[in-house]
Amino acid sequence: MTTPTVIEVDCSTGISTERPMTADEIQAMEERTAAFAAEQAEREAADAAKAAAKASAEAKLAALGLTADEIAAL
Amino acid sequence: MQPIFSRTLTSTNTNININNIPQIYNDLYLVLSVRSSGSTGSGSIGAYFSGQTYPSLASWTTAVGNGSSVSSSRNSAYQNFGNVNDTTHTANTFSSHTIYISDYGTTKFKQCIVDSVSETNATAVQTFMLSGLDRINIPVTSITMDMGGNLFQIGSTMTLYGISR
Repeated sequence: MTTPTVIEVDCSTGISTERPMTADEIQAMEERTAAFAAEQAEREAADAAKAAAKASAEAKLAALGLTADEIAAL
Repeated sequence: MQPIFSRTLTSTNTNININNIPQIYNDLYLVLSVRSSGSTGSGSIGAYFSGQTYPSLASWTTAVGNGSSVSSSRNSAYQNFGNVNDTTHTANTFSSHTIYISDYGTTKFKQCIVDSVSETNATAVQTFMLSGLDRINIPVTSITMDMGGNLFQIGSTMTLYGISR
């Protein structure tokens, strides 16, 4: 794996330097990444459940005799 | 609006720290054009202020749209400032992110507005709007950005502006 590096920009001088990440920085980054992945998985699961419920409802309405245009108009 | 610093990367990097932000403006406006080394198609960019790390004290509300569905979420622990273009996206495309921080030099909590889009002229597109309150009561003197362990790719650009009013 590529060694994680940090660019340090000093706005007071305009000078940029590069250094390896510290262990604390790597840990914080990994924790944030895990939290984001969990939230994203939760959001995608909710979206999938919503889409499935919508498809199911549309199928039931079609079985009752509604046309696709009528279902879309609801 | 005055540019404080601008940089286009000529090498790949994991983190970018902007330090010693001058305390002479009212607001900050950070403009990013970035691409990640990730390969999931759903990586994010995070930004932390004044030495904060995960978990932060914040309150973020996010609205996301991808052209076919929309969703909304809230979190209070980590900064996700939008999906980034990565190796799964169209070559040579970069995601765009803007972060507006009001009253950054005060001891009040920091109100933030984020706009983000990972448009690639393909199907994998996400627009992202976020508003939030970063509950740090110290001035924003530095901003740390990361891509969750992936690398900012060469050509990624970041520009920080100071705004007086």
